[in-house]
Amino acid sequence: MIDFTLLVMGSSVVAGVLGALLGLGGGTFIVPALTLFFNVPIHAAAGASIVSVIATSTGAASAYVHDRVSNVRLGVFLTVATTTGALIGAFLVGVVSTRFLYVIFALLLGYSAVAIFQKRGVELPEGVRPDPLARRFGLNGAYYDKVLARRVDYSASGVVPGFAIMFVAGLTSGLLGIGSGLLKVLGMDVAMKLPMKVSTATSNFMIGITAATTAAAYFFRGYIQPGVAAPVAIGVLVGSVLGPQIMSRVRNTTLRKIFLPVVLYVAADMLLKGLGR
Amino acid sequence: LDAERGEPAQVPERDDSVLDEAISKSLRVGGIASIAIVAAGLVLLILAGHGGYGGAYPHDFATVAAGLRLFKPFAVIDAGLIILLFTPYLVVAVAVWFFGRHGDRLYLAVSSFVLFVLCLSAALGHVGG
Repeated sequence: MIDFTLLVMGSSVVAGVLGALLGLGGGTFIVPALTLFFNVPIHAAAGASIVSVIATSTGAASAYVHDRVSNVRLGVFLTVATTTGALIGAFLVGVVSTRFLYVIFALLLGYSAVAIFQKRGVELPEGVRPDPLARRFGLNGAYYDKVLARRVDYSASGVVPGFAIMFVAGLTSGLLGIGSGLLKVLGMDVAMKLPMKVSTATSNFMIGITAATTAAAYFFRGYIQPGVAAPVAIGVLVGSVLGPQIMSRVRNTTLRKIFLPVVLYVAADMLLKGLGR
Repeated sequence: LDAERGEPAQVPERDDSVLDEAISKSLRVGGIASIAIVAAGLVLLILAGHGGYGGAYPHDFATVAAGLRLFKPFAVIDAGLIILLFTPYLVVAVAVWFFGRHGDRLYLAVSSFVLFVLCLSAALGHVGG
């Protein structure tokens, strides 16, 4: 039992670091690890994934919000779409074909991968036309970039498409239990043209709130198995505190380079699931 | 003033540092409380060699509360996990409180809506479960 606990905790530290850096919940890394290497049943793995998402968000966002890299107003505004989507998604389980959703999700990620690749050398977005809605909702902001050694002011464009992508992100997390963070980062980076660090840090703030929409149901259904969830929670929390330390030392372009293979991996995985392997 | 002149929205129009500090603090408190309790439960689990429920584990509040009085390892772990799972609720509630106190009606409505969806989902999740 100690071996299992320590191994799961160790893998969770890695998932927490990556999740905190990339604005993902770590479920992308945790679920395959638990089911493939530790033979954890899929429901218990899904429960551990929800715990991992909230743990990543709690640990990482605490630092990012403090450093003002996470934009709280932007996050609260966009969680209107993600939580509503997640609630509706949870109701559509069994009603909507998940195969179809996997394919759409894969295509969306494929498109985003191209956009990310094209922006690979761009440190900060330029020539962003601020959306009047962004001013209305106070979504523009500033953060201090330690690597660039200066304050970075930014404004948001594409508020409506961004909001729509957030709704889809919520829907997929409610329906498929995955991909929530990935789509959130892409929505902010690609559609709203925010700096990459702001996108991943704000996603970190949002994923916990989105996941909380389904967390209670997971708990009452018994998906959260204490023996599995405990080492995951501890490992991920530790990792998610280390992640922000790394982020403050890397460039936006580096972050994007780490992000791209993850997007491609998940896109391929979703496509295989959608096409029924 | 710059905003009045139609400058690009470079200057944040409001000071949200109090909000950021309050949210960051609630996340830290939730995280530390949960990791401490989960870790204590994990130590109990390793010492006892079992969770205290045979092959099963609790998944409702009443069983967790009852097990907590007997220091059953799984009940202690679950108590920590419940704190973690409900930390986002605390965060949104803090936002609602902040916006309400500062008379920001737009964001009071936005954050209250999010809190409402969260509470609705918890209620439905309980019924559904």
